[in-house]
Amino acid sequence: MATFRLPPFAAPDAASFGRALVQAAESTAQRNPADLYLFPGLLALGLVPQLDLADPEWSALADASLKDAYIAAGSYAARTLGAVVVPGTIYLLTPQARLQQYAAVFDRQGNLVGEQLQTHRDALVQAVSDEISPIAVDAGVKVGLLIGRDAWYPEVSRILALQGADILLAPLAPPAPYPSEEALWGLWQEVQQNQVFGVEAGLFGAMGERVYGGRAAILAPCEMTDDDAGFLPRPGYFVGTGAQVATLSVDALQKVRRDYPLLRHLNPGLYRKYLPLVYRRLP
Amino acid sequence: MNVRDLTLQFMLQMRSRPGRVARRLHRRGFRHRVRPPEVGVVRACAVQMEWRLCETAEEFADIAYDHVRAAVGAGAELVAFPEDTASLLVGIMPGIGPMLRSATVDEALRQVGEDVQVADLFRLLGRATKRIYETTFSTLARGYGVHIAAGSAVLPMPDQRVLNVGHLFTPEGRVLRQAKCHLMPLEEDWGLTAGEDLDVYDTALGKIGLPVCMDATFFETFRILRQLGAEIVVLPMADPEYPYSAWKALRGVWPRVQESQVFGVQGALVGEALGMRLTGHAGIYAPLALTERGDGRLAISERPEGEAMVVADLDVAALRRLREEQPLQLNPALYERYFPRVYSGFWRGGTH
Repeated sequence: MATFRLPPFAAPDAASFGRALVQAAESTAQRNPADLYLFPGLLALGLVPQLDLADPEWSALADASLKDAYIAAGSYAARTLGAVVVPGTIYLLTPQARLQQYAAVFDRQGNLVGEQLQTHRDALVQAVSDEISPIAVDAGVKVGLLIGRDAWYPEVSRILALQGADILLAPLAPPAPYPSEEALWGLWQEVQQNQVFGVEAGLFGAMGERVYGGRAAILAPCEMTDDDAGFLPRPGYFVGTGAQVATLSVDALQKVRRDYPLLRHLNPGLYRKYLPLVYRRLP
Repeated sequence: MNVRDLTLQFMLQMRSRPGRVARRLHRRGFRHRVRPPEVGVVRACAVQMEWRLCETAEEFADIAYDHVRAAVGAGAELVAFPEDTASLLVGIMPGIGPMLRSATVDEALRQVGEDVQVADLFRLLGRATKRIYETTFSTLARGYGVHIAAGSAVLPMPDQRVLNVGHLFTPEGRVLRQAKCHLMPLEEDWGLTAGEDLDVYDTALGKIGLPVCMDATFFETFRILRQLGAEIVVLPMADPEYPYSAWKALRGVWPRVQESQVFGVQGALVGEALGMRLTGHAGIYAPLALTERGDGRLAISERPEGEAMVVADLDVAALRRLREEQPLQLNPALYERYFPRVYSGFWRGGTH
């Protein structure tokens, strides 16, 4: 498993974006080839220089061409690397001109095997999906995609974990500053309360007027790391440039779940009684 | 009931007479009144308390009194005790002290009978411990004019279930209760039952939820409480994690406070208790944006062992502003689509 912390790619078209993905992956692959590569959120926005998200004309351009370019590049990278690839995220536009955030998963042959839209609104993304499911990749392993702020809404990770996801993938582009405390109550604690692996990729640097402060990490339940910290590549969040690599053992994860079956202590009777009512209340 | 049981119950009733506790506390007096309240701000105190066996009601009342007096002296309006506070009163059971000094509670009970569960001990002691516990904390709450979240007490219900129940005593004499809804494996082994309800109580300090310890491991608890209106969540804790692990401890109240935009006040029981070694920090937590260092901590004890007390001001008005400025963007349509199906697979004992 490899995840990246990278600045936006200055790639003017799908072909150069695809090559940039492969180049970044190969710099890692020379040392330690991975089966799955997770790239940061919004990396593909480098396809649209002079980005101005407030400009509706840009949004129209993105909707028409950006998704095609993203898919072409992702497919090319997966095929070339012979690995599963998530090439970050992109913005899409609904017919009502509202932004969505989207990511896709490509298998080793370059086939698009899963897609996911962000499910919780944020300052920019106002059109969200009410569908989410794990995506089966190699050897029956299921991954779940957490797009944008979804990593901070525990409902999403719970739904994915209870549907059988073993690995939660979060291709993020958080605005700077993005302190470690903010990251910890995102994916880190989702990993802990669901006994799954978590992989975070982070965009950093400036794009137009926006500055990103992403981090990268490969996370596991505390019980799987000697120091209890839950970070597989140590010592913690990666804030350099490049990749983090780790081997994820689903067998070892299953042992943790067997030794301490945390989800057995859920209280569905309680949730059934309250959740349908309380979610309809304004917070 | 045979003669031996009748005799035991009589002894327990004598040992738990409310007058003993009330007299003891009134004799010590309530000299420190709380400071004048500041609108929209609640001064909270979280107690880190060493477990010890109390053989008399007065001994228990003295321990509670000392903690409350210290908290009130620091200006606290809300005092939060640890989980299983009432377990100190196991010592009122005649003859149990020497047994517990040499064995775990399970081992001690096996000397009584193979089929005896820890829950049976609490069924036997429940009426007496409840009297001492409630008299102690209601007297202190009224005497000092403070709200006391008195941790929890393991108590038998009229239907014979045994629940771990959090308590909040108000200065006006209200006693508010909340059963623990997510049990530790150990508690299940002991024969306890999980609660099936969550409540938020409207008090003079704000809207308060009272889950217990393991309830904070599951986001659902805090989400329900938040949606029911909670602003302050008091979480008594007794964690049998030894040696202490700061990372594992991070899986409880701290992320729940962040997810749900509430204040968290956590008392911690520490030390050797019923064959376990308990560790943990008393702490007071807030959303990152409401803490000076941006770390979500208003106050935390220095060490996860030994006695301590931490105090911090909860700016409830600031919390309300934060919620208006950064509202949760929940997606009920998503949850309604998936939750009935995904949770049903975990009804009573499912696993990954």
